[in-house]
Amino acid sequence: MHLQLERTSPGEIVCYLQGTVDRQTVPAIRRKLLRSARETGVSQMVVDLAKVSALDTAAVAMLVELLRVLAEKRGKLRLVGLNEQTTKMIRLSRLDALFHLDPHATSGS
Amino acid sequence: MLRFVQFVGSRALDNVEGLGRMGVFFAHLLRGIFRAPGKFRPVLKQIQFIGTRSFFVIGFTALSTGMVLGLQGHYTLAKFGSESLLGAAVALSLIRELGPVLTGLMVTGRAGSAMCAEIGIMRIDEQIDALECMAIDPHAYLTSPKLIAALIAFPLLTAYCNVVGIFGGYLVGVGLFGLNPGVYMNSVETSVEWSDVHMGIVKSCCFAVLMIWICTYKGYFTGVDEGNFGPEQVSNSTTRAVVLSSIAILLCDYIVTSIMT
Amino acid sequence: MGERCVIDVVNLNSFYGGRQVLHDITFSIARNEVTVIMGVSGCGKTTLLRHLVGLKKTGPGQLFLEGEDIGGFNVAAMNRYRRRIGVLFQSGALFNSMTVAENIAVPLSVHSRLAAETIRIIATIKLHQVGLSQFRDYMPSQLSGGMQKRAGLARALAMDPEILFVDEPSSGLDPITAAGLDELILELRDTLGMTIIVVTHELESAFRIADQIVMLDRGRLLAAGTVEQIKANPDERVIQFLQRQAEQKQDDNQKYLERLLGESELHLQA
Repeated sequence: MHLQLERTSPGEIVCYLQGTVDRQTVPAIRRKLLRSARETGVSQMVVDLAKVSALDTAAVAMLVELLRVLAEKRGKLRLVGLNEQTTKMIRLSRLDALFHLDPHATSGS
Repeated sequence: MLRFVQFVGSRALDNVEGLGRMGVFFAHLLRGIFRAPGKFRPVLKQIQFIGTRSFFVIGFTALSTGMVLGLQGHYTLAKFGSESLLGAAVALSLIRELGPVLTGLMVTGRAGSAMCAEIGIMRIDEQIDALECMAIDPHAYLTSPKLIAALIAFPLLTAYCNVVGIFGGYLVGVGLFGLNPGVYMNSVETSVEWSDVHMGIVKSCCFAVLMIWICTYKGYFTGVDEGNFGPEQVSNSTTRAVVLSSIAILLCDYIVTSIMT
Repeated sequence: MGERCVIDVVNLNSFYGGRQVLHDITFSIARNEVTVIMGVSGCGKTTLLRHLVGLKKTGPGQLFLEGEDIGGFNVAAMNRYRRRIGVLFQSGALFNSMTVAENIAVPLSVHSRLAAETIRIIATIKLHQVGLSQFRDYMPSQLSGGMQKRAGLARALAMDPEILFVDEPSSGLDPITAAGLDELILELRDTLGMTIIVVTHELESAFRIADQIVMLDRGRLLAAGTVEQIKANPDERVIQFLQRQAEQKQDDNQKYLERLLGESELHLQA
C-alpha cells in the first residue's frame, strides 16, 4: 500500500493511493490523510484510486472521515480513477450519491 | 445390584470428567490473562462490578459482626478479667479469619451469582459461540478480566471489612461497656502483626481465585451437560455456583489457616 | 473438489453421545454462490452448520476448506479460518451489555488497529445496509427479535467476510423484511463475491436465493442441486417435502386422534 500526496495548488491536494486499501492498511495512512485535509487553506482534496486494486468497508469509512473533515470547512472531496470493484464497494455502502459517483459509470450492475 | 454399580460408576466418571474440565478451564483462564488487547478498561469495569455491588452489604455485615464480636468478646474476656484485650480479640478475629471469609461469602452471593448468571445467559443465547466464531477467545475476553479484577478487589474489600468491623467492636466496647478508647485501640495496635495481615491477604486472594473460577465455570458450561439451553438451566448453575463457591471458600480457609499458622 | 469449491463435505458423520445425527453427508459449497441447506426441524441442519463453522469438532477426512482438512485444524488455523467468515446465529446472539453499534465494533476492535471513529462509521454503514442505522445506539433488549437478527447480520458483515453463514434468516421476520434480507444476500454475492451458506426451512426464500439447495432428511442427504433440479426431482420424499404442508396436516391429525383415544381405541375403530 502506497500513499503519495501532492499539493497541486494552494487550495488543492491530490492524493495517489496504490495497492489494497483495507482494514490492515488504513491505520497507516489515515492520520496523514486527515492531517493534510486539515491544513490551512486546503479547500479541495482529490483522491486518485486508479492504482487501487481493492477497497473494503474500512477504506470507505476512511473516505467518509476525510469528507467530513473537508465539509466542516466547506471543502470538497473528489474521487477519481474508480474501477468496477471500488465503485461497487461504494455503491454497496449506499454512498454513491455522497461521493457524486456517476450512476452510469460501471457496466452491467 | 449391577445397575446400581453401573450408576455409581458412571456418576463417578462424570465427576472425574467434570473435574478435568474444570482444570482445563482454569488453565484457559490463566492463559487468557496474557492474551488479547485492551485489558485495562474491561478490568476496571469488572472492579466496579464486583466492588460497588458489594460495598453496602459488606459494610453492614462488617459492622454487625464487629459489634457481635465486641459483645461476645467482652463476655468471654470478662471471665478472665481481661476486658482490656477486647480490641485485640476483635481485630485478630477479623483480620485473620472473619474479614476474608465474610467478604468472600458476601461477594460470592452478590457478584459471583450475577457473574454466573450473566455468562450463563450468554451461553444459552449463543453469544459465546458468536465470540468463538469471530476468532475471539471467550476466556480472554470474558473471564480473565474478572479474575484480575477480583484479585484487586477482594483484598481491598477485605481491608474495608476489617476496618468497619474493628470500628463495630469499638462501638460496643467503648460505647456500651465503657472501655477506655485508648486501651481499645492500643490493644489493636500491639497485637496485630504483619503475619496476621499477610494471612488475611493470602486468604482473600485465594478466595478471589476460587470464586471467579467456580462461578465463571458454572456459567460457561450452563446447559452443556444437560443438552438443554433454557432459562431454568441458568438458575440451576447460578445456585450451584454460589453453593460450591461458598463450600470451597470455607475449605480453603481451613487449609490456608493450618498452613500459615 | 476443484478450484470452484470453497468447502467440501465428504461422508460427514456426527454424533451426540451415542446418537448419530448425521449420516455420510457429502456435498460441496461453490465459491461466489448461495448454498441453501434445507430440511424440517430436527433433520440435522443446525448440527451441519456447527461443523462448518468449527463449533463441533469434525473427525479427520470429512470436511475440507480449499483442500485443507478442517478436522485437523489447530487453534491458530481455526482462528485464521474464522477471521475469513461471518456467522449469523438464529437469535442474533448480540451481546446484551453493549449497544448495537458497539456490538458491530467488537470484531473490528479486536482484529484490527482501526481508530474508534473509523470503526464507528463502519458500524453505521453496516447497520444502514440492514436497515437499522437509526437504531445505532440502542441496546439489544430494546429491539424486536427481527431487528436483533438484522443487527446480528450487520455484525457478521463487519469484517467483510469471504464466507457468510446464516442460520434461519427469515424466521421471525415479516415477509417484506425477509424479502429485503434475501435481496441483501443476493447483492452481497454479486457485489462482493461472497460465498453464502443459508440454513432455512422456508421454501419460498430458498427458491428465491439459492444457487444450490442441499436437502437433509433425518440426518441423511436427501437431494442436492439447483432450484430447477430439486423441483424436478422424481424422488417421492423430495416431492413430499416440497408439498409438506399438505402431508403434515394429515400426519398431525392421525397422531392427534391417537393421543386422544389411546392405541387400544384405534384398534377398535379399525
